[in-house]
Amino acid sequence: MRNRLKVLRAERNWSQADLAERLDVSRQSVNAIETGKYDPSLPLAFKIADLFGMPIEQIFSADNVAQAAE
Amino acid sequence: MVLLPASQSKRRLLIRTAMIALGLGLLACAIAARFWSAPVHGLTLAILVAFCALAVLELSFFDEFAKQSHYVAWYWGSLLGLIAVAVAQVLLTLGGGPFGVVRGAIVDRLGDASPVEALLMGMMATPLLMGFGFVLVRGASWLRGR
Repeated sequence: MRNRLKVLRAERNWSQADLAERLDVSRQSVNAIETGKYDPSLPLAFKIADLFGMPIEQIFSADNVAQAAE
Repeated sequence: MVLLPASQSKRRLLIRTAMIALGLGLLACAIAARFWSAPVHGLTLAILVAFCALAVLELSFFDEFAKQSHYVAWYWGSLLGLIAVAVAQVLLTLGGGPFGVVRGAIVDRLGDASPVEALLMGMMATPLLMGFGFVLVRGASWLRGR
């Protein structure tokens, strides 16, 4: 799974800790999601999408979909 | 939980600090019982119950990533610990070579231990190694995720 979390966070000048605070998760969780080491659950993915005001598919994409788009 | 901080990291820090304090309390009870024969059974039991309650509370505050990391670390770490105990038991039972030397050293050191003490030490070995395995795996995953 790929995601644009790091880009979206940078656009808002948020640190990982800021985003973690907003999502009520740990900074390590945000780091793990951003680096692709952990795929969030659907509820957390919806929470992230809500926070950025975007549909989930604009933030997360399957590896093969992202590769095809490139 | 109105009394607890809103931030997850602060909640975890608070609970962890309390757990460390209880752990030190357990250590103090053990020292008091060993060296001054202090009657600390009730207090020790109360600390253990409080420790378990805090552990459950801490788990409920974990986010999904932390929960999964803990499950993975407990699974692989405790499995490693169990394997280590099983291998050590088989090798020490068979004896011979370096294992015979180790066995001899254990007998030299614990030869005077009563059967109850030997049983208690045996009971401690498995959870101790399982816990050690957990710390190893959790530590490795924490270092990798920094």
